[in-house]
Amino acid sequence: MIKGLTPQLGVNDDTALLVNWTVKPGDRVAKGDVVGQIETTKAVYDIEAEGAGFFAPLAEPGARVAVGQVIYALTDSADAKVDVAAIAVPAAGLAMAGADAKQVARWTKKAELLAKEHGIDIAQVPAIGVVREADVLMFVKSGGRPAPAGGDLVDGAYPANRPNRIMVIGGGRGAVQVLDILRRCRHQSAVGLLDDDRTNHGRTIMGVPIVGTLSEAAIRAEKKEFDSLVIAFTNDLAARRRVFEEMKERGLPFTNVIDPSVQVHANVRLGEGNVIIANGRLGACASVGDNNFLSAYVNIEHHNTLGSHCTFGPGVMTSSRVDIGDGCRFGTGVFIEPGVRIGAGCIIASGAILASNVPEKHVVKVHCEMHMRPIDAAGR
Amino acid sequence: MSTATIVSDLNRALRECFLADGRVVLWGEDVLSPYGGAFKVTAGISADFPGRVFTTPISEAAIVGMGVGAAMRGLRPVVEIMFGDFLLLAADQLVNHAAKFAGMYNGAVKVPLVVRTPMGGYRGYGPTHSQSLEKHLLGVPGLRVVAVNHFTSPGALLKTAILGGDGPVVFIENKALYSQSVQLGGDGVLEVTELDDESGYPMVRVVNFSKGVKADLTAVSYGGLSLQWEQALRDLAADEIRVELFLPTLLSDLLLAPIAESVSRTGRLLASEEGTRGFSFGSEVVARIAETVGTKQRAKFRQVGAARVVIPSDKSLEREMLPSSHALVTAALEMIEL
Repeated sequence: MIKGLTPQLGVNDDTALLVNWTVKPGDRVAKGDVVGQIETTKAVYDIEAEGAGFFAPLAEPGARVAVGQVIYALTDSADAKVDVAAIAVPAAGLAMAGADAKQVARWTKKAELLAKEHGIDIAQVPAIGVVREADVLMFVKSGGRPAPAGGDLVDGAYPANRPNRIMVIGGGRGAVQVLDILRRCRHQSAVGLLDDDRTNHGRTIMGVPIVGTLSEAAIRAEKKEFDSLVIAFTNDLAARRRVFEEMKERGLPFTNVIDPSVQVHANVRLGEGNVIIANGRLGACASVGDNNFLSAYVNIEHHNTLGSHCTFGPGVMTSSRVDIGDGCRFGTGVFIEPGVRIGAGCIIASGAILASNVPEKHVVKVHCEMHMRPIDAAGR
Repeated sequence: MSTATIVSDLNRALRECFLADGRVVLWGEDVLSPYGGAFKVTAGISADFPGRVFTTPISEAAIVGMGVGAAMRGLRPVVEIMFGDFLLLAADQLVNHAAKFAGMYNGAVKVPLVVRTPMGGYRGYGPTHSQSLEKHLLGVPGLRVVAVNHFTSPGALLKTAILGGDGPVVFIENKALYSQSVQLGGDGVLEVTELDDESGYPMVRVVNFSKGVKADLTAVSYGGLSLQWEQALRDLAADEIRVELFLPTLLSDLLLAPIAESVSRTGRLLASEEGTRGFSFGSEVVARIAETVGTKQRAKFRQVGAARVVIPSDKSLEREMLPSSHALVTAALEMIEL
C-alpha cells in the first residue's frame, strides 16, 4: 500500500485546503495520475498519485489538511481495507521537534533529586501514581519508614465489633452524598477524606476531616487509620478508574457504600467500591462489577450484567437482561429495553430510550427541543 | 486569554497610531493594499489612510534613510524591512545617522523613527531569511532595540515606539510568532505578569509554579523564543522544576534588578536566545548579573542559543541548529543536577 501525503508546495504554508478528489474510491490509478486538487495561499495545485494502485481517500474535500498528513492511500486491490489509525501521521507530530514523546515517568525530577539528597531509594517512597516532591518529604518526615500503627484504644482492642472505618476519596459533592449515606449506616463510618486540592486540607465536610492527598492512602493504611476506601467523585471517569486500579495494585481494600433504602434482591452479585444512592434497586440475579456510582432511583433490573467504573445519573431504569460494559456514563432518566447490550466506554445522554445495542465507545444523544416563552397577559 | 494573534494585534496598533497622530507615515517594500506586506502586518492600512503609506524600491538604505530625514523634519515615520536579515544594509543609516544626530547636534534635532522588521527561523526559509541579527545593533548608543514576545501585547509596544518616544527604535518582530495568539495572564500552569519600569516597554515575568513555592532556576530570554519557552516551562512543571522566566522587551536598556533579585534566590541563571551563541544578549545578561550578584554569592550560569553555523534551508537540519524547547529543558535539568 502507498501513502499519499499533503505536499509542501510553498514554505509559507503549514496547511492547505483539499479542494476535491477527481477519482472515485476504488478507482485504479497509475503513478502520476491526477487524483485531486489542493489549494495553498498561492494557487490550486493538482495532486498526482505517488504510485499505482486503487484509490482510497482519507480526507474530505473542504478539509484543511496539514503538510505531510496522509490524505489518501493506494491499495493493492479495490476492496482492500485501509487501517487509518496505523498509517495516519498525526498533524501535531509534524510540528516542532523537542516535543518528542516523553517516556512515562514514575517520579518527577524534583522528587528524584530530593530523594538523592536525603540518601533515599526513591523506589521505596509510597505514592499513588507519580512520586512527587511532597511524597518524598512525607517519607523523610516519617523517618524513611512507615509510621508506627496507632489506633483507637477501645475499637482497636475489639476490631470485630467496630464499624468498618471508611476513607472517602474526593472532597466534592459526591463526597457529601457518600457521607450522607454513611451517617445513616451503623456498620460503616467515615473517618476521613482524601483530596488532591490542598487548599481544603484541615477543613471538614459534615464533620469529617479532609486529611490529605490521595498519595497518602498507602501510608495511612499502614498506620491502620482506616479499613476500606470508596471513591466519591464522578466528574472524571478515567481518573475514577485509574485511582481504583492504582489503589488495588497497592493492596488497598475497597468497600461498597449502599444507602439503607436501596433494595437488593435475591442472588445479586456485587463487586467492591460501588456507591448506591437512596431508593436504588438491584433486581434478582443481577451482577454488578466494581467502582460504579449509582445516583438516586437507579434500577438495575433482574439478570442484568453491569461492568465496572460506570456512573449513573438519577432515575436510570433498565429492563431485564441488559448488559452494560465498563466505564460507561449515563445521564439522568435513561430507559433501557430488555436484552440491550451497551459496549464499554459509552456515554448515554439524559432522557435517552435505548431499544437497540450500542457498540463500545459511542455517544447516544437525544434531540428534544425545549420551547419556552413568557406567560402572556391572559395568564396563558 | 486574548484571542488576538500577534499580526492582528500589530495591525490594530498601527491603525490606532495612524488615527491618533497625523504625523504617522509608513513605507517599505510591497506594503500597499491588497498585499499588505510579506507578513500582512500593514494589511488594509494604505486603503484606509490614503497618501500616508508608500511602497518603495528594494533599497533598505533608502527606506531607512528617508525615514531618518522625515523624522528629523517632524514626521513620525514607521518603516518596514521585509526580512530582518537585510537590516544590515541600512546599518550605516541606523548607527551613523539615526542614533547619532540627537547627540551630534546637541538635541537640536530628534529622530523619532521606528524601523519594524521580522527576525527568526523555524520556518525553513534558508540562510538569508531566517536569522536573528539584532545582537549586532545592541549596544549602539542612542538606538533602542525592542523585541516582541507572545506573553505581552506587541501592539502596545509598537504604540509606545511610534507615539511615545523621541529617538529611533528598531522594532524586532518574529516570523514564527506572527500567527500565534497573544497570551496574557497565563493559565493553570503558567502565570504571566508584566514588570513596568515606566519605559513603556514592560519586562514579562512567566512562572510555572504557584505562589509561596521557591523557584529553582532564573531564566532570561526574549522575542520568538517565548514559544519554545512556553513548551519548556510546561514540561519542567510536570517535573516540579520551578522556573522564573524573564522576557525583557527593551533589549538595549535591560531592567536588571528583578533578574538579579531572582538569581540571588535561585543561585542559577539560564540565559537564552534564538540567535547564535556568544557576543550576544545572553552573554551580556550573564556578565551584568555576574557583576551584580557575583560578589555576594556563588551562582551558576549557562547559555543556550543557536549553533554558530549558517542556517540550513532543510527544516530538520534547521531544527537541530536552532534552540528547541527540548534544549531549554535539558539545560535547565543539567543546571539543577549540578
